[in-house]
Amino acid sequence: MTIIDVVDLKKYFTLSTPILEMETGVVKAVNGISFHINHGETLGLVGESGSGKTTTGKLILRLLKPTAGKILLEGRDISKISDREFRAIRKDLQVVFQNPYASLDPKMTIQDILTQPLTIHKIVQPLEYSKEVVRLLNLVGLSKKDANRFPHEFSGGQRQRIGIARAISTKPKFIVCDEPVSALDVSIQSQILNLMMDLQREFKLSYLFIAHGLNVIKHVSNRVAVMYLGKIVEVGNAETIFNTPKHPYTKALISASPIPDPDIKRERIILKDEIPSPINIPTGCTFHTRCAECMDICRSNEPELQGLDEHQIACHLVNF
Amino acid sequence: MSLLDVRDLKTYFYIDNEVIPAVDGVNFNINKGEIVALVGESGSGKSVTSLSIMGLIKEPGKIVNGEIIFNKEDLLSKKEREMRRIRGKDIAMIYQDPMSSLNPYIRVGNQIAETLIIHKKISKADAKKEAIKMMELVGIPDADKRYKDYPSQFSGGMRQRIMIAMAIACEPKLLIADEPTTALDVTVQAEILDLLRRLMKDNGMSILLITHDLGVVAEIADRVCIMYCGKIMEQSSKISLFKNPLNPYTRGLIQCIPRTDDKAEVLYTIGGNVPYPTDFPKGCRFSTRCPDVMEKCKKEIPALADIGERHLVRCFLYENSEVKKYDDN
Repeated sequence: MTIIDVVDLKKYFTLSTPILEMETGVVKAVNGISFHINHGETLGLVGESGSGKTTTGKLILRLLKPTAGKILLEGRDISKISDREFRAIRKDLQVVFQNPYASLDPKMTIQDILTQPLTIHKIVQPLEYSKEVVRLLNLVGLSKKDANRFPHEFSGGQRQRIGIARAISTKPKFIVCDEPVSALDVSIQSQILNLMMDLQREFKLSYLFIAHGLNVIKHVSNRVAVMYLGKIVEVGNAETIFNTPKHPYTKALISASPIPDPDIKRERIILKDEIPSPINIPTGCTFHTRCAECMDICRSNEPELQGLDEHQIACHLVNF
Repeated sequence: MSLLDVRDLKTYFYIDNEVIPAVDGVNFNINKGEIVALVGESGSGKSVTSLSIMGLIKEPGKIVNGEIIFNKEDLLSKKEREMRRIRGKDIAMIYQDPMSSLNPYIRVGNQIAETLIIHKKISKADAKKEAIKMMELVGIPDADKRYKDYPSQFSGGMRQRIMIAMAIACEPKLLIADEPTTALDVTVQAEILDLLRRLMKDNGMSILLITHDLGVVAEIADRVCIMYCGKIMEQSSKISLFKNPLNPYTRGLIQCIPRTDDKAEVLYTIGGNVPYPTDFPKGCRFSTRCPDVMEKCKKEIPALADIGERHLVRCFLYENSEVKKYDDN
């Protein structure tokens, strides 16, 4: 059973000069992607900066309006319904942000931060608010006495715990985790990752887990989608993707990810140049400008995402 | 031969009548042509150590003790005027965020040339030629055209290359790289690490690499110092550190990183949080989070001891091994 189905989703941002009121370009941040997320699973989304990962997350949460395409939540297209109708669904979709310092209001106590969603979505009776806040704090490894403190009194890891408590306060079905551990120290990272996986098991949550650290993605994901310039170039089971990557971009990403073990010698694939600007997307396969195995067909024809559900690749090198 | 020798360095900050021992008795050395990594979490004192070496500690911070011997001279006894001649010329530094360390209003070429004009006292025209050469050396395509571009016209990885070009323009003997790849994508990170390694080989430069990423350390470092709360907890060659980590903190750090090449169901965690510098525990700094903590650890700070082959560890677990003590606090 799928919880999220994304069908041919596109998001274009138009650039314009305010003085001339002219369109000067189009940023194709998300350029026709389709994927699904099953109930209770984690889909990891990887790619370099500028590949469209965060935009994808925001589109699913309806924080951005798609240019084209469908987003189905349990079969219902949430991109087309009115804001009023969506408000009832809002609580099912939650988000954990990258920066725990910027995503908590510095003037609110933890009690207030966690009570707000309870009030808005009428999760529990008003008399139960403080009891519920304590329950949420305990779930994420904080204690009752933390409720009256302000965000600045907490360390980065503790703040991220508060962010997670806020996300699960509305009893969501699905959470977009946008780089939730990138800003944290390594010893804290593992605490937060374990916490998120425990909560997932306990509440049968589904995650879209966005990260650029491949080791983190490998650890948390059941399935992985690799994005490049607004397109999914490879998607499939995490084990398959990491053990037998097929797309040259995925191979390069995995080979560039450092392993904390000096004994392991790997052949490093160095990509030439850097990710092109999404304003001028290369013709044909978007990756052909950096691909070591580029052929003539790659410059003119765009490969389709093909293959079985467990492993799909968009590359002319791969024959089905 | 030792190029840099840091001996019993203590850099304290005095804030609101409280003393913050950011760096508290640090000893290490860097040989010629060697990459030494200083690894630690935020608040471990790794950046303050590098700023102390550069002579950039400002009020309310103060270096209260120690020696920093660079090229047989003690940097701490130097006047600011003398330091200015060394900084940027013999010791250069690159930072984590290349965008905020470049001047957005000055063309990148001129920023590189400036160092050359100041330190090498060459003409503007020569400095320009030299700067273009440096840009080519660090792998910026069309260097002569891009000389006139502004920092905002470059991508993150290219900006870091500009920073490196600026840092190595005067052929420094020591390059301090403070989290040079943390803000970059993995593919770009791999390229920058390759570049640093190449520059070290070709120019005989030494590098002090400051990082929290043990993956980067495994790729590039020769020796490693693990810092925690202002103290070095373990120091050894890279191979020895990863093969045989001794301090429980080092072991925890290595174990808690998820790896792309294996699949553990539950990640190892180090419990608790890094203590605030104003209330460091009385005994071993790691005693509040250590899985192997003993009564003694809560009362005394263990010494950094050599347990053979220059593998140094600060921990009471190894008290009875054959040891050679280096300092006594």
